[in-house]
Amino acid sequence: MNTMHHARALVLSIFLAAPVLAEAQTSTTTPAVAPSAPAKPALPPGFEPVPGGAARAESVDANVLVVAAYAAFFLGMFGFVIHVARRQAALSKDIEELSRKLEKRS
Amino acid sequence: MTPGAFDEKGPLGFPPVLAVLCAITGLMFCYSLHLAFYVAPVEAQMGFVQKIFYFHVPSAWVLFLSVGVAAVGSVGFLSTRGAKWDRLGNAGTELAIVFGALVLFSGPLWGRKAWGAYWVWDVRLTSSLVLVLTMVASKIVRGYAGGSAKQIAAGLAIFAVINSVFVYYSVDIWRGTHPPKVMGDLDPLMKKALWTSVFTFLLAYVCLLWMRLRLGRLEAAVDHLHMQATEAGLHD
Repeated sequence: MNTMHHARALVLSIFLAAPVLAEAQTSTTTPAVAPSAPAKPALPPGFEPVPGGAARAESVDANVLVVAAYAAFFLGMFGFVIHVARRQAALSKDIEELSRKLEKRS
Repeated sequence: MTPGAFDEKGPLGFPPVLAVLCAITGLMFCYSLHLAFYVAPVEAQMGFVQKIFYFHVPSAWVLFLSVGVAAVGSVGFLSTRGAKWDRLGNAGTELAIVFGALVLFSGPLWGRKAWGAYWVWDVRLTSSLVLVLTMVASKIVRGYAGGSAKQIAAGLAIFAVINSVFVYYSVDIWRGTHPPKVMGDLDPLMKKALWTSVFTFLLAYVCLLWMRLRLGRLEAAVDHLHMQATEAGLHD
């Protein structure tokens, strides 16, 4: 019983000490690696302003928008037609099959 | 068998008139594209992106028409409980979703160039979105709401037709970001391209509605045959 109690205390201690040990490990190893790694440029804290203050003019190609819109029209309508046609074909097949079975039965 | 489940008898083959109508619609689409891109002049303020107008506006009108068809079917179904009315309501709802999706896709593409943003929470745009979502809700309810699904779906379709009136007049009441109605001020060639497209979309709508109604009849026929097969002991 006493041994179990000690074992539990040991596991709990390791569990609680693990983050502290890991942090200590990182802080000791980082200086050894740092000189060989290239220095990363510091990221700005928020949005980065354009140097000189002149905003780059944003342009959207009208051709792309028109082509996308018209493609959507035709895809949408043909998609619906294909969906309906496939469903109709499947139902027609069902009708034929069921009618044949019923005729055979009668 | 449910009363009225297969109350519409007739030939179930593909109607030749529908095939001819589909062919004419295809040719009319080619002519509409020719008018929109090669005959109608480029608009001075918006430029080439305004060409979206020739399909966007007819899609929106056909959306209103389809919501109206769904509402007529729904009122008919709620008053008579007839399967034919229910099929009309269902077909109108599905086509309203298709054309609504086209309107909601093409409008933002035009808006990106004209306003600099794909979407703004303008009254016309928001109410159009609500209209399409109502039709989507009606379709979802029809599939998943259980015993009274058809009645609830019909109620939603009737609500949608009231919303469509609101959508139509919203640009007159609240002058938002969406352009107002410009039919009277259009260049004659632009007007010709627009009205040709409107006629083409109406033809396409008739074809699609006919095909969807025929699909509904086939579904009813299959249900009817399955019931007969069960009565005859062909199903386990």
